[in-house]
Amino acid sequence: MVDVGKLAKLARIKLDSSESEKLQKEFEAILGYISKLDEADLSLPEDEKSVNIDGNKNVLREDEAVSGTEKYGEKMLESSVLKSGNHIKVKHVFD
Amino acid sequence: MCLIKNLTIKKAQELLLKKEISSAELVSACLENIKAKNKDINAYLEVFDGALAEAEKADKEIKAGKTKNKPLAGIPIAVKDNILVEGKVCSAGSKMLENYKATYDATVIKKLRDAGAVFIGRTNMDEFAMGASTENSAFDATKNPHDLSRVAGGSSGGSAAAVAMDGCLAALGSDTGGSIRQPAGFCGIVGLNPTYGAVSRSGLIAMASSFDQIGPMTKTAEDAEIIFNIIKGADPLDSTSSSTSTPDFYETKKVKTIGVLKYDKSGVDESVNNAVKESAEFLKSLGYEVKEIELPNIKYSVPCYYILVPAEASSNLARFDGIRYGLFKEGKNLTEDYMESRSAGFGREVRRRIMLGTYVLSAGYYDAYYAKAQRVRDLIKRDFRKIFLDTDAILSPTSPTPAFKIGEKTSDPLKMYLEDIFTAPAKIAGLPAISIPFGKTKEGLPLSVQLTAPRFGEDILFEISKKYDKRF
Repeated sequence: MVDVGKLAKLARIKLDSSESEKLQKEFEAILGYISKLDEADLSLPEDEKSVNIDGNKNVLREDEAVSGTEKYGEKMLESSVLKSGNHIKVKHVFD
Repeated sequence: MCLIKNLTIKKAQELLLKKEISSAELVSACLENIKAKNKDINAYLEVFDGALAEAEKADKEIKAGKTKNKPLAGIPIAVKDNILVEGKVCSAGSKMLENYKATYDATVIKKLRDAGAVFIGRTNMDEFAMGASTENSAFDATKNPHDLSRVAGGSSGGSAAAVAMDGCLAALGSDTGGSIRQPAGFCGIVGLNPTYGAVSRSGLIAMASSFDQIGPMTKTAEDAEIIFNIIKGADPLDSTSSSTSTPDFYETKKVKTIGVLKYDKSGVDESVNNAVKESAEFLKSLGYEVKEIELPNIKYSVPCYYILVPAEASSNLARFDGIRYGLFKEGKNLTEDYMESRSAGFGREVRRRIMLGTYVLSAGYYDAYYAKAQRVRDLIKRDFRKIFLDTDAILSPTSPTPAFKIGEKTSDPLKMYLEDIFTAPAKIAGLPAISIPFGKTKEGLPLSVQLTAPRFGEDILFEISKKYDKRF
């Protein structure tokens, strides 16, 4: 059983009770469908085990800023309704 | 009106160079069509003010012979509303970003701009690209230009409809589970989902980062190839992008064998089954070796998809808290600021997927859902790999039905998710796939088929699908 109220809190979403109820039913149906994955045979034949299917590798770069504040800073501040001078003002984190 | 109807990018390029038409004429014709049709179809959320001025600038450059390195000089292109165009609103079809102005150009936009394209406007989409009908847009559904009582598909429904209603010559879409190919199929145009990594995602508003790709939506496969070749390539701003052009497991460089996917025909519309059958005959008549193939694990694609994508979406969309950008609604404290803003900004499907993603990633459930889905993803990749060892491309339906009625699937999210049944497998495996128009139903609705190739095998798709261009 999914605890929709708890999930909403974790996801920082406020729900009214009618939506909670509806979501409860929808989640049961979706998770029921998703559980089809339990039928999948996850074992691999010996000759397949060593195959790197993606050939992925890490992409690294120097840990330095590539665009300075002068390039985007002002524009980015403009995007916030909480802009206050040259910073964004938010409420304190702890009550 | 017929100026755009009978034109492709290819033909327009030729006429522009011969100076038989001007870019201003092209753009004006698009704008007229938009003015006449958009109030019914709702393909465009915004038509850019400067489009005509840009076209006139392009005309001057063409006249001065300065467009040698600008293959798209003067060509009007529409952009899905989740791709950033500097200075323009980019809302991702959401109230959350209704007033958000892009601070920079997406890499694909920069590349198209450098190639001379004229951006005509931004197109409607399911909110944050979550949906298969564009009915999840916060700004009303897009209707199918072939039948206004039906959906245009989604999530790139606005882009598909914009091309189909002659409101542009081509459009950009994005594909996470089928969002380019299914609407293209519903609207009777070509849609290419490129290989994961073939096109930079920088400047695309993220839904699921291991799936999302930007791709062209065009009238012909030839046009899709033109756009793809401009937007592809490695980009330092997207570390998953690559400039590889050699397809996996592919040595002969000659396309010979096409596998027809074996699937359960009972759940699929008769007209779609027939299109696949006739398409296989058509390919045979062209001299390809056509055989039936099986991918035993792709039946897990949709369940796998609806674990991994909500999981990735829930973390990607955590950034929308009302603080740095987007809608802000004040609460009693900081946590409530977040909750109020997110509840006011996100629509139902987005909230549903964020919560579903939160659930499958939460402690105690992670192994049962997310970790298992990753292992199944690996199995599906292996299925494809095995087939591509001796098959060059796979033919399948694009979607189980032609365009469905507006409202038909909105009440049941699971029904809508099953729209992805033929398009999700390529995304799970990171493969390129193209949907190609193929005839019409008795009622006149467009039908389509899908071709899938090995990773970085776009050229294989173009080689085959350009032969469909000639068929019509």
